[in-house]
Amino acid sequence: MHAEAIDPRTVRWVLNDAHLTPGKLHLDWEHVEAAWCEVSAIWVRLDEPLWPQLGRDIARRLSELVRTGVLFTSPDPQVVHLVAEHILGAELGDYFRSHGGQVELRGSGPDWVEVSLSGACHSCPAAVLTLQGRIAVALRNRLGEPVEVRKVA
Amino acid sequence: MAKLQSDAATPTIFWWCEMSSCCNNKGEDRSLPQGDCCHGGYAPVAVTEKDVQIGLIGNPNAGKSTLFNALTGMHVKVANYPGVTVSRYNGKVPGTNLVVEDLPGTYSLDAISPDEAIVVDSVESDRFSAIVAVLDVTTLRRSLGMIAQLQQLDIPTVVALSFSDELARLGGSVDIPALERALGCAVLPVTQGNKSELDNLKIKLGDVASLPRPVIPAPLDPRELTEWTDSVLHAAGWVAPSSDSRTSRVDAVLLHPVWGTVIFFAIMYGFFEMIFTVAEPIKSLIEDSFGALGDLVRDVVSIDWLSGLLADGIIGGVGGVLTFLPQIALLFLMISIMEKTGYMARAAFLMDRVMGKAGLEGRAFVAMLSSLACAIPGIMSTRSLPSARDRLATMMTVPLMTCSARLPVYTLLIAMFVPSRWQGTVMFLMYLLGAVATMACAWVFKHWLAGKAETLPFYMHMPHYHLPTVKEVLSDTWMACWNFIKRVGGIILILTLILWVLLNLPVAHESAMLAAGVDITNDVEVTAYQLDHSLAADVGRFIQPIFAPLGFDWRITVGLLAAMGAREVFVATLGQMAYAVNPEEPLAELANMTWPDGHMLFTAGVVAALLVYFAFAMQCTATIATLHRESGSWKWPAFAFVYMTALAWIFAFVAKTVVDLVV
Repeated sequence: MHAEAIDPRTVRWVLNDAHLTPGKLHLDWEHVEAAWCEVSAIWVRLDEPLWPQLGRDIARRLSELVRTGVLFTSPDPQVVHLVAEHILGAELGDYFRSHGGQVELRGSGPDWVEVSLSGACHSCPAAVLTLQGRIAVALRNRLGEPVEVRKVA
Repeated sequence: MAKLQSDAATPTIFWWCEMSSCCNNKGEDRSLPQGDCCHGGYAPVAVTEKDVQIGLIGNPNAGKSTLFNALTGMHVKVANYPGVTVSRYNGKVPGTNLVVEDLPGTYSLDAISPDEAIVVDSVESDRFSAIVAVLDVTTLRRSLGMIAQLQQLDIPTVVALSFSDELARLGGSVDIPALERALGCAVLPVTQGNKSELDNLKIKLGDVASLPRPVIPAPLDPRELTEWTDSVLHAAGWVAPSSDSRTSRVDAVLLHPVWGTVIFFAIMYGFFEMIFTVAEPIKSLIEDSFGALGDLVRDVVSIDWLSGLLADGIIGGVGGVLTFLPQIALLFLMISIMEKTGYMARAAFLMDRVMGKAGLEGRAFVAMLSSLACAIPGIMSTRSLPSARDRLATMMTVPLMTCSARLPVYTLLIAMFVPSRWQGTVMFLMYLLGAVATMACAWVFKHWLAGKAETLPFYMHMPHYHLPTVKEVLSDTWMACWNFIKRVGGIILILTLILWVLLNLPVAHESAMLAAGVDITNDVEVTAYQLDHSLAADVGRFIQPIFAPLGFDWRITVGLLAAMGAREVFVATLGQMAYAVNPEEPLAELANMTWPDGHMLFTAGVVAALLVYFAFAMQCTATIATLHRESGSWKWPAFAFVYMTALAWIFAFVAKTVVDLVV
C-alpha cells in the first residue's frame, strides 16, 4: 500500500489487491477524526496534521486490519462526495485543464453526483463521453456500485 | 558470480578521455581542502548566496550524466570533495540561478562503497535545496528503493524519468501524473534530445519551495518496501517493457559459456591481427613524412645544436611515438565499438566465471577493462568495490593489464623482430599475458591478505544490442587519439627533450674524437661517438650491470629509465638514438644495433626479455601517484613498484633463457 496526500490532515491509503466495502469506516484510534473506505483505498482524516509522526504506525495497523479482514463499514454518502472530488480534482484535473476546461462537483447523493462544466468543457461535443466514459466509470470502479453522473448548469 | 539482473556499472573505458584531458599526467595530487583541484587547475563553480544548489543522483546507467550535460552545457567545472579525491562536477544552468552538482552514480543510499558514501554525505549535508533523481523508467521497480531511502530525508525531490522512448519502443508504459500522486513528488520525463522536457525541468526547479513532498516517507522495511513498490507501480499503471527479442536471440549465442567464450577470444584475436595488417601502410606513411620533415629541418636550420634538437630530439623521438597513432586509433576504435554495441557487458559477464577463480568479482573486471586504456582510471574505478581487501588486491594488480602506453613499445619490438606471420599472434599473446598476470597476482594478493572472501552479489546490466552511429564511435576514437597526442606533446616531449640534452652533453671535443680514431668528417661516426660518451651513457653504463643477464646494454637501460615517466618514451629514446646515427633508416639502424664487440644487441632472446619486462614492470610515475592517492599511503605503491619490477626482471630472464634455447 502507499499513501496519497489529500490535505495536511487527510491521507488516502491506496491498497493493491484489496476489495473493501465502500462506506464510512469505524476506527477508534487516537487522533483519527474520521475514515472512509473505497473498494481499494482507505481515507483517514486526523484531527491535526500529525501524519509525519503517526504515518508509519497507522499504515501498519491499517495493513493488519485489511489482512485480517476486520473492517466495520457502514454506508455513507460522504464517501461518494470524497471520491468524486478526488476524481475530478487529482485524477482528471490536469486532463481537463489541458483541454482548457473545468468540471466541478455541485452535489452528490448515495448513488448520484451532479457536475457543472465550464470553460471549453461547456460546449464540448465529447462531454457526454467524458461524463459517462471517464467519470462514471471511475466512480463505479472505486465505489463498487454504479453512480449516476448528472450534468447541471 | 554475476547474475543477469539489475543495473551495475557497464564498463566504461572512456573514463580515460575525461581524466587525462585534465590530469597533468604526473598524477600530481594537488587536492587541497575545498576549492582546489587535482585535475588541471579548475576552480569549483563559485556558488553565491542567491544560487540554488541542486543535487543530481541516480544509477550509473540511468542517463544522469547525459542530463547533467544537457542542463549545464559547457558550463562545468571539476573540483574535489574536501578531504577525499573524488571528482566533483558542478555546473551552472545557463539562464538560471541553478547550480547542479552531479553526484557519483549509485544503486542505493546504503553507503557500502566509498562512492555511495559520498552521495549519502552530500545529500544529508543540507547544502542542496532540491534533489533531482534520475530513474530509468524501464527498470523503475529497482529504482524505487532509492526513492524510498531519499524520502526519509525530507528534501524537495524531482524524479526525472529517462528512457521513456525505450519504454514505449518495447511495449511498456507508465502514467506519469498517477506516478506523481503515488510517490508524492514531482515526476517529469526527460528524454535525450528533448528540449521542451528539459525546459519543464528547469521551470520546476526554478521554484523549489512549491515542489510537492510526500506527507509520509516510504517504508524501509524490506517487506513493506516491496508492498509499497508494487502498490506505486500498480497505481501508476506501469507496464514492464518486454525484452528485446533481437537481443535475446543474439545473447543465446554470445553468452553461451562455451561458444560465447570462443567467439570472444576469436574477436580479440581478429582485432590484434588487424592492428598490424591495417595499420602498417599508414605507419610507413607517417614514418616517411617524419623522415622528410627531419631532412627539411636539417637543411634549413643552420644552427647545429638547434637542428639537432629539432631533427633528432623532437622529430626523431616524438615523431617515433606518433607513428604509432594508427595502432592506438585502432585499439580505441575496437574498444568503442565493443562498448557502444553493448558487447562489452557480455564480455564482462563471460569473464566473470574466470575472475571468480582468481577470487575477484565482476566489478574488478570492470577495473581491468578500464586499464586497457590506462591503469589510472582502472585504479580509480576500484572505488565501486565495497570490500577494502578486494579494492586493494585489484588496485595493486591492474597496472599489469596491457595499457595503451605499452602498445607502441610492443608494436615496435614485434614489428622489428617478429616474422610478419606471427606478429598478430604475439601481440595477442602479450595482451593475454597481461590479463593472466593480473588475475594470478590478484589471486595471490587476496589469499595473502587473508580473511574470508565475502563476495557480495554482483549485478550486471546488459544493455540491449544496438548499432552505434558512425559519429559516436569516431568521436570516441578521436577523443582517445587526441588525448594520446596531448600526452605526446606533454610529458613525452618533455622527457624526450631532457634525454636529448643528456645524450648530447658533454659535447665531444674534436681532439678526443681524433684520439679515439674517429673520422670527424663522417657524421655517423661523430654522432655515434657523441652518444657513446654522453651523460646518458654514463648513467646507463652505471646501471646496466643489473640488466646484464637480460642482455640489455646501456642504451636499452637508458630507455628503460626514461620509460619511468611514460612507457612510450622508450620508443622515443631508442628512436632518437637510431635516428641521430641514421636518419634515413632509423628502424634498420635500430635492428642492427650492436655491442661494442660487434655482436647483435637485439637477439630474439633479448627482444623476448624486453617484451616480458615491459609487461610486468611498473614504469609509470603517474600510476604510482594514483596508487598513493587511492590507498592513502606510500607503502602500497612502493610495494607495487618493488614486486612488479622484481617479477619483470625474473620473468624477463626466464623468457630470454627459454627463447635462446628454442630459437
